[in-house]
Amino acid sequence: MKSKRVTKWLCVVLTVLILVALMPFRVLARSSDTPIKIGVLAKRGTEQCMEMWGPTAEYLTCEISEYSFEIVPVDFDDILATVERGEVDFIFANSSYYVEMEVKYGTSRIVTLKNFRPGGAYTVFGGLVLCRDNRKDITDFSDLRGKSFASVDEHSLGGWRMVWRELKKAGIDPYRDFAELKFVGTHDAVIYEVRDGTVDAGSVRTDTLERMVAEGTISATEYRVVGQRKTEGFPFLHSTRLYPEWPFAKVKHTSDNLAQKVAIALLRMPAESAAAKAGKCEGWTIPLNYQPVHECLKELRVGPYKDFGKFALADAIKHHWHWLITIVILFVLMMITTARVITLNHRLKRSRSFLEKELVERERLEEQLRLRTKELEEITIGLRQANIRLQELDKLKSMFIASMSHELRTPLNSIIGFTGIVLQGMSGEVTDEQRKQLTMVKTSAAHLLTLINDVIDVSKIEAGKVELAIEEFDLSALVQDTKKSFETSADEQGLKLSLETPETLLIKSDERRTKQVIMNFVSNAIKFTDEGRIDIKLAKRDDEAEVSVADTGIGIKKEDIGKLFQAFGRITTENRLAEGSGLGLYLSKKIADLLGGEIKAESEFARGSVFTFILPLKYQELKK
Amino acid sequence: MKKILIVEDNEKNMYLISFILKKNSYEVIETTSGEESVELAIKERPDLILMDIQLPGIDGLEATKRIRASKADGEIPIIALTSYAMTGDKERALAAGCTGYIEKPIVPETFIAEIEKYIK
Repeated sequence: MKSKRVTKWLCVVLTVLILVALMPFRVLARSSDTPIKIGVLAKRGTEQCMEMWGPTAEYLTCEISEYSFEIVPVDFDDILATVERGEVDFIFANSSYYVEMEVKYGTSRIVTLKNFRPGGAYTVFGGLVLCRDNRKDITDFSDLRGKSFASVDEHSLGGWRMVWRELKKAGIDPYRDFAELKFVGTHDAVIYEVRDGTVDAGSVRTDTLERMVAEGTISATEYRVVGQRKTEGFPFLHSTRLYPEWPFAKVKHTSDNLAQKVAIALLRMPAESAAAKAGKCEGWTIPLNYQPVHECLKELRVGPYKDFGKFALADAIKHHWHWLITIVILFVLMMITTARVITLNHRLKRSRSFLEKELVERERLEEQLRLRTKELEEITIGLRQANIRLQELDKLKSMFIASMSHELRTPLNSIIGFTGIVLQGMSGEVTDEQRKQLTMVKTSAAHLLTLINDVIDVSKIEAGKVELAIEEFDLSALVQDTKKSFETSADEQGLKLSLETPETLLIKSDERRTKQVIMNFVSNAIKFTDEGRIDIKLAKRDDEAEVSVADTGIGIKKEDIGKLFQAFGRITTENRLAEGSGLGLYLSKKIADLLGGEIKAESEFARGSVFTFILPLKYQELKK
Repeated sequence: MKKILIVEDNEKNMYLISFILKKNSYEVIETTSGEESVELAIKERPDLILMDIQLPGIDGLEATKRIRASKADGEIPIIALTSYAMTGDKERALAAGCTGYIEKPIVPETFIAEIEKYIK
């Protein structure tokens, strides 16, 4: 049991011992294998850099025993890349580089250099603009316009950027407004250029002039300060605002613990230490505010602020994507609208050109129409004149008819009258032969009279000159009268003439024209009937009167019925040269039409015919 | 003896009518002018006037109107001698104041019977 307990204790002790032994080994292993690297901007070359700052690394290795430190000189071109890649743990560079690394790589200062200069140590510095003392024409920055200028380096903060900021403030763009701008590499060279008059003016960091004068290289009286400023507690000549000195900063990956240790060691560094002396400083102080450097670079738009204030597309897209989408949508809509408008415009143009064509066509048609209208007007005038002429002719015709009617009839009246008297025996005894011949004269004269009357009637009807005399009369009485007047001639031919009529039948029409039609029917019937009978019938049918004359005469062939009512449409009948004008039925038909009635003819060849005259009880004027 | 005034410009017609009337024992006054017929009507006061419509100078209608307008007119029957061809002659004659009309040509057989209807 006892031995077991001892073994247990031994194990514990051994374990503890191993752990204790291992811990320092690990730390030591680190300090020896991977020394802490301090990057330093080698502004005057690697050698000088190692000379100045090597002692500081040694100092730190000495002060912080668990680490070893070494200086890594970095030149202007590599410094940013070195920090970005984390190749160093600390970085010591000018303020201008520092702020850039701070912004870009999260570098943070831990202490600021107390620069040793004749008359004391200073944690700030500035820029100085110089010209030769004899240049009376240059006193202010504004006088530098159009002059030649020399400076150290574009990246130099004290030597160039601080001065640039002041020039800019004075309204001068050195890259544009200087006759010449050159960077000569070192501060000393700038001083010489100014002295030698190769340039009108130049800029260096503060204390350069004082240092060179102290070295005895130049004489202070040869120079004059341009745009001189005064700052309390700062003894050096300067032309710009003052900015903090170089900071000593930790790189992002470096632990706070280590940084703290380094900061403490550096703050503790005595002014008289070998490290301080080599570094031409009085040691280190607490980190200063580098905001003024930020502002300077921001104004100049250099270093981290190269693109400051410029439009960054990616950022804009990131921040304003919804606006962008809206704009894109609006743009697309606009494009669609534009396309539509263009299409519509195109269509409009097409329809416009179509309309223009139409217009031209229309104008052509209108011109044609005008010509046609003119022609028509001329024709109308011609027609009007012809019409006037026709009316004159018509008047002449009427006059001719009237005069013929009178002039032809008058002698006929005498012939008929006197033959009548002689036949009556008023003028003495007449022999049978004389009577026979005189009767022939009388019949011929009567025939001639009928002919003349018919011709006159036709002329009148065709000229539309018939004046109707409409009045109420007894058609029955008219038919009876007609029958009476034909009784003699019917008797003479041995024909039986009968009449069937109501006692009275009052109608309103033209009495004389009605009689003319009925008489025409009866005389035709007598003329064309050799034996048998003629039956006249009058009847009322609704609002019409119907007069029919039926005979047992020669009749009419079917194909000839159509010719009946034609003017001079005489139907040639064998062995019969009918006396008449050939106008009787034609006239009757015209009269029937005028009175609003009609005539019907039915016939059977060699058996007889029936002619019917239908006329309205009340004449109504025809509407033309 | 009844007195009849014949107004007729045609010589042969005048002779015909006049002959028939004289044969039937009428006293006949003849004139060829409308103006004269008015004077004769007033002066002679015939029992009947046979008035032709177509006359030189004033026509039968005008003459009839003048006779009817004169104070001497004692409703003398005036018979117009109308022409078949002239539509409206008989209406115009009646309108002008004629008592009746006889259509020409006159038919000697019925002429006397026709005029006797109008003589009082």
